[in-house]
Amino acid sequence: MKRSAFVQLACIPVWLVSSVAANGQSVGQLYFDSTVTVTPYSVHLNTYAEVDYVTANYYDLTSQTWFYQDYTQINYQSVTTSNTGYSADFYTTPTPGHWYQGGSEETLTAYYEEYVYSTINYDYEWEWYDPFSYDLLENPNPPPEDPVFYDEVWAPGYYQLVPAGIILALSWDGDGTEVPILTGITVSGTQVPGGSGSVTLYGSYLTTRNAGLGVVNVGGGIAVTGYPSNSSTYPWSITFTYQIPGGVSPGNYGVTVTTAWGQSNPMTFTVSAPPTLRVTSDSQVVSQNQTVYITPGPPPHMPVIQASLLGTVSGTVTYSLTLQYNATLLLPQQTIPANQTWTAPSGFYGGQATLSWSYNGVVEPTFTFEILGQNPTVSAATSALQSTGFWFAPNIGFHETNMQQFCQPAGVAYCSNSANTGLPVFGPPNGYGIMQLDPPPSTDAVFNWQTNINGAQTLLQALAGPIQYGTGGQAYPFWIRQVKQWQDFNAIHSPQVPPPNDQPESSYCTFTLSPAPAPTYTTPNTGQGQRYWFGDAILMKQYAGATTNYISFIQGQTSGNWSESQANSVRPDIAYEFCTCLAQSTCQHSGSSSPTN
Amino acid sequence: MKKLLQCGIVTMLVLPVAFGQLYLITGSTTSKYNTGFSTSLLAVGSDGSVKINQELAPANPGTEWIAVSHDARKALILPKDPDDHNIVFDFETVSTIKSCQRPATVNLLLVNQWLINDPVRGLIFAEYLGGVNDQTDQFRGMIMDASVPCNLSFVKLMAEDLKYFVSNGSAGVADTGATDFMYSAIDSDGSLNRKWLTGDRTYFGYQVPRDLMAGVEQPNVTISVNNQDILSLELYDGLRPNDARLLVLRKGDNTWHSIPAPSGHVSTERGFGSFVALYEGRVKNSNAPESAGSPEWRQKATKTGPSVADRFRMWRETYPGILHLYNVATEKYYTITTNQGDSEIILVDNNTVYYRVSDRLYSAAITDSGLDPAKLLATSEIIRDAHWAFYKH
Repeated sequence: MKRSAFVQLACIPVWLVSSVAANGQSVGQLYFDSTVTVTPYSVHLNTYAEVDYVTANYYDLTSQTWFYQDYTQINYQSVTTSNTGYSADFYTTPTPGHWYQGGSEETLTAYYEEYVYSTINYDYEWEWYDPFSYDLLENPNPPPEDPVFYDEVWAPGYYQLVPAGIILALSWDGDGTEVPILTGITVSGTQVPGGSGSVTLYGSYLTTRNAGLGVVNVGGGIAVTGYPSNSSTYPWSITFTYQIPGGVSPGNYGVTVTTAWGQSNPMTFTVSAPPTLRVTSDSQVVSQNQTVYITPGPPPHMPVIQASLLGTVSGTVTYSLTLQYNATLLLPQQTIPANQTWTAPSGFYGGQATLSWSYNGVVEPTFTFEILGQNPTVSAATSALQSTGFWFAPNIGFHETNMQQFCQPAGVAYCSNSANTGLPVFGPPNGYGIMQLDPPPSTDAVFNWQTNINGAQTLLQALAGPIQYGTGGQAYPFWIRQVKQWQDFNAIHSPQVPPPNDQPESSYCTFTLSPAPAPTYTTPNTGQGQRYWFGDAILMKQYAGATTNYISFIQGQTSGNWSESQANSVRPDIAYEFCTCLAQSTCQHSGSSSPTN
Repeated sequence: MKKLLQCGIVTMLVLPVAFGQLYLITGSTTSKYNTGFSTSLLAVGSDGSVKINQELAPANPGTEWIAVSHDARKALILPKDPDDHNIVFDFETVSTIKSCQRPATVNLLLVNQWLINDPVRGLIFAEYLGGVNDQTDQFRGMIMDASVPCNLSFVKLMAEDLKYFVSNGSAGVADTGATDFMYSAIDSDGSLNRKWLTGDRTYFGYQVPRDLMAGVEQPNVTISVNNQDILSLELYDGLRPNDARLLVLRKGDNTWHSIPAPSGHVSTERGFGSFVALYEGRVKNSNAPESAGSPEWRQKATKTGPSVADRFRMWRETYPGILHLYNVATEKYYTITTNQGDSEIILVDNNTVYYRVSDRLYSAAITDSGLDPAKLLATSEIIRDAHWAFYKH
């Protein structure tokens, strides 16, 4: 801001003192978007000063600096010429170098804002002239199509009689009537069908709020919101958000701004085609609805599922893989750069797979496929079960599923439905896989036969229990306690309670107190000749979920006795059934409806 | 959780002893089962309400053993592994006064357990731990006195310490509660003793008169009740275990008495001061295929107790629902006929007997002439699982 201009302006009151009769204060409220009625014979000089805004912000085009003025510091003066009856109001500021213009940024009207900008610029060009020369405009609201000047520009020191009762408004006879001009465009967001983001347009005359709201037009049916912006700055720019409908065809679309004064030149907004998704399984391309397989090995192998976007892409892509099998498994969502390859989380899982993905926030059509499993050979599964340390683990595998982790046609009951072929063998209430782990300890145990067997080994070990204290009911310490209680009972009772009878469970195994050749009652012993200690029969029943144990020593008030209970909640003699299952062909059911023990 | 369980049809809602609070303790030990039940304290209101006052041990993992000493007015609750805390509940403060983590044992398993009333250390929870894998058997105790910190509470016991055992008999019927008795040998001179697998022998300091042993060829003894007033035992011939003699020592004057035998055989004994409660039983056979009152039995297990129907079905005896009460001090005999196998006497306090019939709690005053008419105190599903009681005066 030029100090000289202020000095010159400050001279005006001096001039007025000698030429204008005092006529009292004429308090103006020349808000541009309001009206004011001036009284007869009042003289409005430097009308700017009558704007009693509290603050103003304006921008100096030359210095490209924002200025701020506190209008509460304005000094008011009023001069009335006695001989002519004219009066003049004028004001000075205690802060040289600042102009008093405009109003608060929130209340200043667009037109006036333009005026401010232009005026400052104008001031530089018109050094001596009062930069705040005004024209008076009738009925500015609604905005005039073309300003109708009530009078001409006032030169410094010039005053004008204003008829009484007329509605006046302030106008500038230049800017604010120009057709918008676009000079640039920037886009932040996704420019594919379904995408959204924001656009900033740069140019001139984009905001003419005095003349009504401008309109942004984007071709292709692209919706625009968030315009007009109330934060127009120089160089003028406007920002708005856009939403590209899903059906918009890729291509270039014009963007224009239309104000009361016309439509701008167009800028180009490009809608790109969405990228193409490529899904692979172990590097082999997978097509929609294709089935991929977990291979049995050993070791079993989960196919490596990967996805990538073809073509030139930018931004990010988010992948989310959902598996549906009895329950829904939602794998963690991952967002990666769009030009990178996504690899599905490690681990074994399967079922109906749905890969959801979104490109730069735009949800794209899902990709569906199926992950099924293939069974190990019987010998491979048997070998793995034999290594668990529990001699009857293979028997359980044959009994429960015939060593099938996944359904095969004509398999167990659940598998009789062909729709379940390739899915993990399921048995109610919640058993899965070869060993029918109920409940399965992990998803892996459902889809990885080795994990399933490992889970069975862990379960058997937990059910067998450590040899300590023994009140938790684990099979081995439980059995040892029974033996000790029996021995303790016999130490003082006569006649003694005999040892429990050997309990043959088919020709394949006999449970006994003392399996040969080790006659130790309290040591887990798998014996020879199909003779096993009762601890294993107890463990078998516990694995099958029974709440009563296979055998226990009952210490009654006047008697002691061995109590045997072969049944679990489902089968009359589950130990018998396990024992018979050296292979599927030898498996026998207990109970009257099947070959019995 | 405090929950009003039920306020059922109550014919008489006035507690006979109106100067205190009657509490019940639920619980069903499951040392032979792979399941567990909650042990809870119930408060019986004078209006017939039954409210859970506090849970003493959760249903998971359940309890291995529960025993009470009415003399010491304490209960010992032994949760199952993996809960390794021994819990001491006090009747006077109506609270758990001690909960000590027991030292881990390796190659030592719990074979049996009792309470002992040690003359120096007071009430002790005693464990007989059986050794395996070359580990020798041993006794371990936990001092139940709350003033002794846990780290000083676990002590090694000697076989001779077991002479101070106390027992309260069996709670519940058909394996629905818990047992608390001591097997004993009896020498030819009538001395009661216990031989252990360690080779040690514990003499209990009691001698059964020879005349009471006459005719028993292979004597076996189970000491059901041993409290400060009486020692009650079943003496039976090993060749005829269902034909037991019921003998009781009145400690006040050190005299032995035969308890009049009821018809059938005594299935269960339980002691309350100078009273011995007896339940008639029958060996399950075609003549006595089922206990009385089966339509009332609970079919499904709950959090606080098992399926009563299942337990009766598996149990080797049947019960006609006839309870006896013998006062050793006065040598008077009382009989309560409930016609319900699932019946038991759970407390004798201040000359009043409290007994449970299925899901109903009754009381009856004990007089010189017999029992007064029973009063129904409360009806509630959870009463089925209440096998212990005490009065807080």
